[in-house]
Amino acid sequence: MASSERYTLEEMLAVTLARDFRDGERGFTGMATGGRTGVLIVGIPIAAMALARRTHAPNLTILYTGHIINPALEDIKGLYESGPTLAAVRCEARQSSADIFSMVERGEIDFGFSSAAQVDQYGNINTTVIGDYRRPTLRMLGAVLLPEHFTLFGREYILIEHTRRRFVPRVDFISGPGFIDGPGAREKAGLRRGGPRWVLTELGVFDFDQATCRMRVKSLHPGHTIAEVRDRTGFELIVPPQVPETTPPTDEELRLLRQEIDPHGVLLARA
Amino acid sequence: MGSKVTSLADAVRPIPDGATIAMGGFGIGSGPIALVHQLIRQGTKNLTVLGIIQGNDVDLLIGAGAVSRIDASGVTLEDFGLAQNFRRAAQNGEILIREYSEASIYDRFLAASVGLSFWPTRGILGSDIMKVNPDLSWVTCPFTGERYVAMPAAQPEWTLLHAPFADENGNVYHPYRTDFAGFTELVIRASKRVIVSAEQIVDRDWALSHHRDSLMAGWKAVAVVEAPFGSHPCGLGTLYGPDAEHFREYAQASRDRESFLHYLETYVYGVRDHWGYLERIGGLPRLMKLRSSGAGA
Repeated sequence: MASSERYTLEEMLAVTLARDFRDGERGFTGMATGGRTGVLIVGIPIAAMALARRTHAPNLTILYTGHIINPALEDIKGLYESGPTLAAVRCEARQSSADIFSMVERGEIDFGFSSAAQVDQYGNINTTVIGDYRRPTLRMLGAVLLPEHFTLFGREYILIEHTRRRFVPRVDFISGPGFIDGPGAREKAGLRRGGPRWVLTELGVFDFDQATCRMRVKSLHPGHTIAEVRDRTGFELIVPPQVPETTPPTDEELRLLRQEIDPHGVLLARA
Repeated sequence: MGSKVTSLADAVRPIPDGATIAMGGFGIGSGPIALVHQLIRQGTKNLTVLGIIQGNDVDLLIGAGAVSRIDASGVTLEDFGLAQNFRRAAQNGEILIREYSEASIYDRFLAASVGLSFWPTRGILGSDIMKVNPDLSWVTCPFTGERYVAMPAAQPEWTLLHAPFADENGNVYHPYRTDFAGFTELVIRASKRVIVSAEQIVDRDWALSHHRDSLMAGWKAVAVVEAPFGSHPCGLGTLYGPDAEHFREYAQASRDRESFLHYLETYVYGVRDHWGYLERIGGLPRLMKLRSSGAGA
């Protein structure tokens, strides 16, 4: 993973996300196992929400694993989320699973975060099978809460490693529906809100073209090129004539992340 | 009312081939593993397992050839990787899987918990769950005209539950519960009957002074078994943590069928009962170490 001398990739992604959150919103992180996925869909998102709360969005609500409302960040000692570990985290309030599913199904969650084995040009993601569903070459976890992330949440951020193996023209199974197979497909399926907003990788930030619903380069992280992105993407991305650089973290944002939010580097993988 | 306290073997014996079961816990947390091992020992087959997100509990049953169908949103060993018996059985077409999302299968239990035969949902619209799950149908709201996906209620005939304490009437107490106990409570409400194992069977005086910790009232319990460390290798709430070393051994052993059968021979078939299992995994010294890793870990 590339990083400059002044900041790390994880810090860059946290800052990029934080700037997109609005005051008063409710953001959800789900269960993740440890390792890189934990950093991508729990660590970076929690740091990003905490940063937004310390800057422009003081009333943003963090739903850590859904249950834990606005946690004491210093109590998060790792990103392996077993019951006993989470039980020790102090927080403003705790919700039951009934509360969580109420929020999910009433549409009270503004945004969530996911990763996957595959993402495609329409922002669909797959955590279910590789290959044909009936006789898969690899059976994986299953869809878990990802369908709802993409159908009932207000919007979804996908954080994923940028490789050809993951960036495929068409996912083998739609666990979380993006724009499905193009314009109008979500509406036809009966979906009224939500869907993928951005895909964030070690190379850049990607959004979706309104007319075609296809993935588009929004910005490149400093030091990375379109050629590199094309080389590591298994489908044709929309590349605007002018692609800006992702705006790097400010000194103040870095100070907040390093000194107040994540002094031990648990969330942003500096440990 | 007579005592429901019985042996592990007698508690599990009434579950017939082809039964529909559920299990307390969530993922690899708080699974009723002593009861699961006994179900494997007695050779029950063709089970349908209803679950929300399951872990090594259902993976063990699948690896032992006890499951013909599972309805769930996910099966995982969490930090210890993919559930390998589940993975292999799915790839070989050996089990029927009914795909759901976490919220939609939660809602199927919710339907059964309030005595309804179906539940409407919309969270899986647009996903391929709609394509591969033949049990889904449609329902139109008579008031708004809105169309929903209709799902059948999920009513386990038997739920296997492991908890810290139970009395002889099957009242269950869980002072060490975590946020995830909410899933177990829902599954219990949706079930016809519950088989309980507990770390310790408590007397009436204890029960009367701990009623605020109750997880389940006893009237649904059909059997109560004392089984210390009955969730091992899962942790149990904040009472004891998961046995990471054993989970790594499990994950390794389940990578192929031969080595998993060897695992079953060592830890399930090759021991007489739960007491034999506890000796086989290292006895009291090993277990006390897990206990100190529970609360606050």
